[in-house]
Amino acid sequence: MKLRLENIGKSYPLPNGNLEILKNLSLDANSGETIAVIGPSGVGKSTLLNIIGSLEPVSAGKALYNNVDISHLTERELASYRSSCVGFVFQDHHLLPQLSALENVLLPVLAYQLRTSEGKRESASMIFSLPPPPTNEEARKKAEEMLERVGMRDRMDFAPGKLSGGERQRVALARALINGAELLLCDEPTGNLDRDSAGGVISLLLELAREKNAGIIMVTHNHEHASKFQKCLKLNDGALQECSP
Amino acid sequence: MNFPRLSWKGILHYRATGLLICLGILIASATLTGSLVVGDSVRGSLRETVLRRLGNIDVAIFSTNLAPVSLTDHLDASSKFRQSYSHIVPVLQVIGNAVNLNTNQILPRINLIGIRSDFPLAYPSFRAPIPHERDVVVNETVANVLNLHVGDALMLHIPSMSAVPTDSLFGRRSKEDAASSLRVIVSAILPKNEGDFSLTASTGSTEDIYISREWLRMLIGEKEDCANIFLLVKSASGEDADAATVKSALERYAQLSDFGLNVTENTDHRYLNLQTDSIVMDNKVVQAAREAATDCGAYSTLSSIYLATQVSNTQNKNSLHYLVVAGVGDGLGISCPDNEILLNSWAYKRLLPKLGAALNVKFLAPDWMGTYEPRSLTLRYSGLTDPTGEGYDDGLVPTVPGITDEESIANWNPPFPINLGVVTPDDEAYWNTYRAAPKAFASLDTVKAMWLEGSMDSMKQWVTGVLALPRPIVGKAAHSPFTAQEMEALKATFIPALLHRLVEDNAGLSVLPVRQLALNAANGSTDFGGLFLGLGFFLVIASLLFSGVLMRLSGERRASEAGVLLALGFSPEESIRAIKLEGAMLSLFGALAGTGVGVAYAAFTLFLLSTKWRGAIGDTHLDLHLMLSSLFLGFFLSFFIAFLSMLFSLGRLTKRPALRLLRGETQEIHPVKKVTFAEKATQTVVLALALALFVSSTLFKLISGAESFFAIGALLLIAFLNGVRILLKRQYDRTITGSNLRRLALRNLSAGLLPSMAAIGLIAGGVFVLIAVAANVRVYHQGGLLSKTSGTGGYSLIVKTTLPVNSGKTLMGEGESANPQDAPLLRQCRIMPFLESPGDDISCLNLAAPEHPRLLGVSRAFMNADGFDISANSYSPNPWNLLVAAPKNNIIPAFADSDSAEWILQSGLGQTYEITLPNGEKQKIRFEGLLKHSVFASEILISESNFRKLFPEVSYPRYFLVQTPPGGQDQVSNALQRDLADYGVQIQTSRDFLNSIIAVQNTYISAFLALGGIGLLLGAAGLIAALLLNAWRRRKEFAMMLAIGFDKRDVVTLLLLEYGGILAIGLLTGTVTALIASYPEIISSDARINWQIILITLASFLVAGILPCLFAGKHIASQNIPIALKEE
Ligand SMILES: Nc1ncnc2c1ncn2[C@@H]1O[C@H](COP(=O)(O)OP(=O)(O)O)[C@@H](O)[C@H]1O
Ligand SMILES: [Mg+2]
Repeated sequence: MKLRLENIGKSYPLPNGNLEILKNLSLDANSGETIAVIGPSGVGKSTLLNIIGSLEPVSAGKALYNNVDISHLTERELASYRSSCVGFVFQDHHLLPQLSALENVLLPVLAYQLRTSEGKRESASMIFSLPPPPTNEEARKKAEEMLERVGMRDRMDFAPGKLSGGERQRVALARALINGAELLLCDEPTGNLDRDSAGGVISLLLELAREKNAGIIMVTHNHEHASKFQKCLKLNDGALQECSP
Repeated sequence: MNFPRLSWKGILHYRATGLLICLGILIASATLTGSLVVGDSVRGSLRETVLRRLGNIDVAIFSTNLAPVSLTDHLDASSKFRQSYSHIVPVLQVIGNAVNLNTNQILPRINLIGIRSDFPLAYPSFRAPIPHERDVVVNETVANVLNLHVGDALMLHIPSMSAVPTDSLFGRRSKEDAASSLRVIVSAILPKNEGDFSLTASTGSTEDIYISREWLRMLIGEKEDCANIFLLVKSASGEDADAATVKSALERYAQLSDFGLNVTENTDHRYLNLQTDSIVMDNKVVQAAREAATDCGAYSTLSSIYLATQVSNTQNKNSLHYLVVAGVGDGLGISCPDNEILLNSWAYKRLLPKLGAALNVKFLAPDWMGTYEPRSLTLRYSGLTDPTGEGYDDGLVPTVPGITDEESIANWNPPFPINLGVVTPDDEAYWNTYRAAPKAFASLDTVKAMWLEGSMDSMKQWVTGVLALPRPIVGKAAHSPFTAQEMEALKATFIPALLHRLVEDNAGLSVLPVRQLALNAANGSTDFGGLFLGLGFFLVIASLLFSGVLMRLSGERRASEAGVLLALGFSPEESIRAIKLEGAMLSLFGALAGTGVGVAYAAFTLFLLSTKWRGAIGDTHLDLHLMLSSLFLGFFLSFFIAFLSMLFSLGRLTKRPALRLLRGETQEIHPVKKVTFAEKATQTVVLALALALFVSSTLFKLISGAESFFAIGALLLIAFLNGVRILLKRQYDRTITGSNLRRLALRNLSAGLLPSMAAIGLIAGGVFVLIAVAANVRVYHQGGLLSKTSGTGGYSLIVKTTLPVNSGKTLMGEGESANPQDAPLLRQCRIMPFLESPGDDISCLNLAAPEHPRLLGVSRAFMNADGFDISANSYSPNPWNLLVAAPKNNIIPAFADSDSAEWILQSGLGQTYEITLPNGEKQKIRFEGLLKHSVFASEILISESNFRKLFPEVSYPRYFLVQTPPGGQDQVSNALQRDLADYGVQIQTSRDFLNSIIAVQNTYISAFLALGGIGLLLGAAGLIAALLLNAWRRRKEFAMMLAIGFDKRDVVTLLLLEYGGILAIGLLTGTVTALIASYPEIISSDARINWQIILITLASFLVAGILPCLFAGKHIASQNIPIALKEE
């Protein structure tokens, strides 16, 4: 995995001129690299993650993933990208309340299956080579393993409503990794958690990234957490600066 | 994991909302399916009734006059016919009235059916023994109405079935001759549905009494076995046989006697003479005969005879009494110019006129009052008829029972008064030798004038013979130029040609595919499916709206779900596929359950229709009929509508960027603009227009009825809503000072201007429709109906008789059976007679499509009296005159009740409509005028002369309108009831009749109000649900209010002010506009508005809206402030 942001800019049109959030921002991230992003509220941290996750387009510059400029991809290619390359963990867990923990973890597999079957039909235009999807049994086994790994195996049939905040984020973590994402995008994953569970989730996140050799870009306000990351960047005035946590 | 599973999980998790959405769809689907099932059931029930009443009968031959039953043998000679039809059953049917001799109860307009043992072949459900002699079998309806038991005695009165037109000189019109009475004994009562023999699809009960055909025939004085309807039953191999098969068999095998006609050749071989048993010939027969002559290359002309009471020589005072005057057309060699007269030598010898002398011809002209007016005309003597030929041939004179068949003049028994004192032995000697041979000849027009004298009606029949000859004879000819062989040859071609024409023109005998026609009528009946769909439309819309709003809200609530799926690698379409699938499943469940509930709803509606709402359908028996096609249609339709509305409400979600979805953001807040000049201008213009319309309609009555109501209503609604909009917009500009909750509420409403206005508009519209419809419930009072321009024309009684009233004297209390005391009272009344055709009621009281609309012939006197509320197609000082305008392209001008024309006939003012006459012929009419809410709701009105053209067999009126002296209505009614008892009289006040019509309308209105009321409540519930979910979205705002020091009561009050405000404003707007727009209806003295129900509906609407506000407010106000505020 190789992520490269080249001089990207992001602005929102407002009635009285553009609101510039990101200016000339560049960033490189590789497999196994863990990066913490800190910065005051409203500075554009979430925007940055969303750009990397292709939920939002850039206004200027290039966002390259494995040398593919994601800003030039079609809706479908973007969906493939989100499905196989990146995994999101939000501050609000965003688990579907109607599904059990296990089902929530299995949800990305469905998207992956859809993407690969689509890829088969339009093989020529595929940008991201997707390994064949798991069968349903394989997926289930994998999901159970994932839940086992995040320590939620015994509660895998619980609905999110019956889990604690920390437990929900563990499930969300399992969900982000089930398709073998190489880059985890975490937007204040512990923002709503108490100290102890927050610490647990961060350790788990780092452990998993190491095991899977995945990169992490995590937004946080917590300097203690940031210090556990290989790199700490501060978003200020639209650009990133190295900083010490 | 897959989408169906995902959706199913969603349904289970969000089951409360899901159930509500389902409920909405269920109600829509149930209303839709239920309406269709009601339609099917009404149609199916009618069909069943019609088929049951028809028995095995497929086709029927109707004879205008009585036809000999030998017709059956003639038809049987055709092998094609025998193959196609297994049975031909003659019956003798006549409309009469029956009186229970124990109770004196009268049942008018019963079908008296003369049958023999072959009747069950055509009508197998007749399982009683075939009646003999004085026995009769009655059906259940007759037994019920007259309280009859087996063994009871009945008196039957039936009209004469003589073929001779009763209004002519030779017609028998004394009470004994015009009607026959028979005392009979009930021998059996047929059980329900088993004795309702009927050939038409009219709904309602049939009153049938079965009697022996022989006995009935003898009762009406017929010597030969005869019938007037021949019922045909198809054989197994006759699948594709139809009326045409019968017609071609008739053409080839029927004989002239079957039509009551005969052809004789005169002794001189001069012409073939076609004559009828009815003395004068139907115009149709005349036309057919002349066409037939043309068909075989022959020449034809007409002849007519009249009886002169006296011919006297004005110079020498010599005179002759009771002599036949004949008139013949040109081409016979005996022509006589108009105003001239020829005598035979016998008459000449006795009158001895000089050539050119004036001869005075006296004759009698019967009029409707029952008198025979003496009339006379003066003709110039212009010569002798040929001494050996015409002068002494009685061939031109048709058989006149009681005259030509008598041995001597002294034995004559004519219907008119005769003075035998003036008859001399000389006259008797002539009679003895030459019988009725005409003693004088005049022109054809002169004799025609004698027939038509005293009648305003030029359509009266007067032709007594159609004469056919190989070619016209030029000039005078003493001897026939034709040979016996030539005449034989003519006869051999003329008679088949004549039969062909008669059958083709339905002259005398008409063949109708009664089963086909009746089924058509049953299928084309009032579309109750459409009707109930219309009545429940409000409910369908409200429930779909309810579901749509809930779907939309649940979609919005779950917007973040779509966002998550997008982030997980689903495409935008896939991200809402599961929610869509959920919607589809809910639509499916709702529609499916609704189809089931719809059947129950239909069953309940049918139950109401046969109990509480009986007024709308009369006596028709209704059963539930389920048709798979309708169930499928109802199901699929509601499923698709629900599914589409779901797609529509979710459609906007896909257009939101993923991020905003993730945040659960779906609504954009539109900045409110200032009140524009256009809005203010619209307001002024619309209000001014509404005011102008209101003033002109209520004060000056420039426009009226529905148009002004809709115009005023729509304008007012627009004005009010626009006003509210301006008001709300103004609020937004104001700065809120202090903690004024009312201000804050208004401000909040104006912040969400669009949803607020939509909700207000919706409520206002619904309330408007309900109140406006409710304001239309009406019951007529006496007061308004006395006016000449009302729907009664000022006539307060509708009198119908079973037997035609052939003498005006009867109506004036001067008839043979009249009560002399009644005469002074009846003389103060204005009684208007109408000729009435057989046929079906065209008012909403008849459910089946009228096969043969009933017509009334309107007399000149009635037209001259003017009156009624008519919208005419073109201007005329007296619009009734439009009826006598000359028909263009053979389209007869007609009037009808506007509601009947519009709803039942589906026609309108100025439109052409094709009616089918009972003999199957088509006739075009054009509605030149429509009467509003009139007593003529059941019939089409045409002028009397047009009427006689269509129905030559109807001579005397059976329908009367009576204008009574003030306060004398009941007395007059009683007097007429007494005097016309034997005629089988039915008297109804105009007011009762109009109320029976309006009862149907009122029934539909109450059905509409019931369904609409439920719709309104449902709409309110949906609206409130929507608003509450909106409030839920605003919970942070309320938490903030609590945090900054408002207390819980304030929050509840604010919610009530906002949402209660929307309800109240909508309710008020709708109510006020409806009240103003229906002001004319409301103040009308006929209005019967159920204010209680309206108030209860509106109040429950308000409560249904406000209670949830209260609960939700309490709930929201007691939420945990920090948590609510933290949720981001
Ligand atoms: N769709 C949008 N339109 C306009 N401004 C936006 C939009 N989305 C975010 N912003 C603005 O961009 C800025 C950065 O937001 P965000 O990336 O969420 O900040 P952070 O996550 O650092 O707190 C904020 O000031 C926010 O108001
Ligand atoms: Mg953020």
